[in-house]
Amino acid sequence: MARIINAHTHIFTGKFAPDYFFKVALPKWLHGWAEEIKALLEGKRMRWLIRGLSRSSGKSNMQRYLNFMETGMEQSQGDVFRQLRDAYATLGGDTRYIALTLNMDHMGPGSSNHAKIDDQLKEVEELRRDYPDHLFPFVCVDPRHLQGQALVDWVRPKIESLRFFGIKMYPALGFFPCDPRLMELYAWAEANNVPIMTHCTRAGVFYTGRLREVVPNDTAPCLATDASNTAFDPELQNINARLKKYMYNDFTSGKGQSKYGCNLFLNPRNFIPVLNRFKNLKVCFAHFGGDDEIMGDVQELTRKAIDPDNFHVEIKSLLANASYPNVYTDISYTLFSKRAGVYAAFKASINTPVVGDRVLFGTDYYMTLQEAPEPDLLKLCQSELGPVLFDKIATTNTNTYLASRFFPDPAGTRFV
Amino acid sequence: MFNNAYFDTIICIVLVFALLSIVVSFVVEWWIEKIKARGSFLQMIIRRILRDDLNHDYGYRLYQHPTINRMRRGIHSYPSYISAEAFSNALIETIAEDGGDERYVLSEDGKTGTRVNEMKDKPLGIRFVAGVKVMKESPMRRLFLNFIDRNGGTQEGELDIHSLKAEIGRWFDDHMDRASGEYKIKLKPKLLGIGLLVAFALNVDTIHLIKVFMLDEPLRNRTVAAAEGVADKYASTEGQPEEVRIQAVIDTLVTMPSDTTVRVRMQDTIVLKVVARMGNDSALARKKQDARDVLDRINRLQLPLGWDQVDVPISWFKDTPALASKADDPAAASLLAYFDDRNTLTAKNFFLWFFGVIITGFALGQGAPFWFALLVKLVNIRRAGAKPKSTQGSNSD
Repeated sequence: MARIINAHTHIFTGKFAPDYFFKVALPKWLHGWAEEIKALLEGKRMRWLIRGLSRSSGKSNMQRYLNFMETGMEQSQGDVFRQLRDAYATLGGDTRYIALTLNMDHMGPGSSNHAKIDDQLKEVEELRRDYPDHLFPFVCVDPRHLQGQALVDWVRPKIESLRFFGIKMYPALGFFPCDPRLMELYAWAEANNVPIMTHCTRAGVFYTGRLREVVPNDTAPCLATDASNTAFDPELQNINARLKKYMYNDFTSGKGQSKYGCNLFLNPRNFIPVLNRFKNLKVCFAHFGGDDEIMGDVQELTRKAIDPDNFHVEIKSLLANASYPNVYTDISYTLFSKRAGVYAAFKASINTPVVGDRVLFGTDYYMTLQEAPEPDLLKLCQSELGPVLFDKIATTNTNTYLASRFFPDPAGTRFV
Repeated sequence: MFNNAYFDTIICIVLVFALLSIVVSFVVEWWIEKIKARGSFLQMIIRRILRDDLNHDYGYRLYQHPTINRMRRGIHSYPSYISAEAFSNALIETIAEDGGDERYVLSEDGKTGTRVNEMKDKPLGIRFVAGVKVMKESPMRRLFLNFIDRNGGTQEGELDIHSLKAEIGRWFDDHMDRASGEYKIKLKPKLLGIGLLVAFALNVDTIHLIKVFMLDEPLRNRTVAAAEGVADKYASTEGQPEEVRIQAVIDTLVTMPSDTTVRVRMQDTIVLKVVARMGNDSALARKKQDARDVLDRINRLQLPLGWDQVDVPISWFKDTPALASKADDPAAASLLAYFDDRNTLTAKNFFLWFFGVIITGFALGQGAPFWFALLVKLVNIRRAGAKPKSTQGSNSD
């Protein structure tokens, strides 16, 4: 029997999150005492108290920081990974994990003393030495870090040497996936069947500044649909129309509104120009849009007519589109939901021919710790889907997704 | 001799500030220990000196090295001291890690993946040179290349790893010398905050102290005598480390004759109990004893501070009997009349008390060395010149 692959986990620690990510939760006059407040928060009781208070008062920045801190305050990524492995002990300790790194270096306009992406990756590489057959990390890219061929030159040796196995993108930190600076990377990834994982739900972490700081113009940066760089994809019109709605609206472009504003970057339709250009690109839209979208809950952005697209519906339509044979989705984070329609939607998609081969199992550990412990989520998913469907998404589908030119047979290869 | 009531009052106030600053510095030390600020500061400095935006955050990686990582007492603390030897060993090994071209190779049938690193069995010096060579061109890379050049060169077997370690150690020590000054500046806001806290906790109202010293001659004389003893001791230890000088001052204070009737307001108060519970580890035990000795001596000087039922602000909410009518002499009468006036809750009195405590807080934030140095100068002026160091007996006037 092939081994289970959890296609969506995180092991990065809070040291890779900028200091200002914490400071955005504090009023300016307290910034001078950030060190003291951080020390106070590190006390378990105080964290429990503040978590309760922030929940009741809706201070989501503070909550997100605390969520990072809970596990993110571990000494190293190794500690986080070992906790993750312990959670799967009931499955015999043979599970494989795709650990998605996260480049938070460009998530805000302030200066910070956080550890940079290179150091995060270096630590992961060292950890992989200890768990070569269990840890399969993805390298996180951001077009503000490196662009074009330089980005390819940075990613390629990591994946060719099998230290990393795919590419992670997190557009909510302030860039469009159709950014032309990513074009060379997409071309290389498509040519080598290298998997890409992109965050795709309205929750998570976001760029901390104003929208205008990362989108200076009223048109989205977008790659052309052909190699001659003359024609743009028709979808660009929709992207630009959406951009204007986000940009000229205090609800999304005002100070402190980035959690709404950064939805601009997350809409799965932003990927259409990319997929039209690189039709065989292997992209997984994570979280299947989120449980709220699955249930069709009306979101603030829809209510205000800024962005009425339902991410879940959009992802399903991309999955069903025969022009994009390598579009995937995973049920990470969303799998925590016990709402009746959520697992029904999962099952319906998994049972749909072709589409069902491209739904992946993942949990979004350790972000999910705010919902339930990892073993509980695993149990819930196994019992709701049943052994056949679970096995399909956790082994067959994930093995196909993870395979690339450099790692052609994940199910048959063992690292020693 | 230059002395009058105003000048002596200034000396008394400076003595109070100097002594209470010792308490403040203990509380600051305890707080720094509590929030592990010293370790965090050292980590910040090390990350800054090793920061290389074009390559790696070598400071962060240095702290992941087992030599440094195992010095940590818990997941939220960093070592507050790192020796030059530990630093250079960890740094060289961290850079050497990058030397090899590590990769995983699949077997021909694709069934097995194996880690390959041609450099892993080479000597440390060679791996270090290789690690520097793969760095992108940056100031940090040039610095490392200079280290290598000065210690034998980049050819295999030429690098003297021991002298390289020694040089990196010296480089680290130079940075640490400079960092201590920066640390003091960084402590300023904490001193100020804790100074205010101590001022409120001990109810030290500078305006009130000035008034009482002006009106109460015996108290003023007693305090000036103590100030002279303290200033002499502090001046006699010039050139020694600050901790030694403060210790000498406290030893002098403890041996000074004093009033044995200790006022209740300072003894067994919450403040003393709190101080007794703070900083039980050996590093702070000495400082805690110092703080307690200082509070005890302030108590014995019968200074008008601390919390008391018959004193502001508690007295504002109590039915305090008038005192002025019970006075035997005019001097005592004016002092007691002042107390009677102050014990009445008015906007002016409240403002004066609050402002007086704030002044104290800011003053305590200046730190003990500042106030002791000032005290020495003032006492010298009062004596119209410094007391000669060794020939006092034969040449005294």
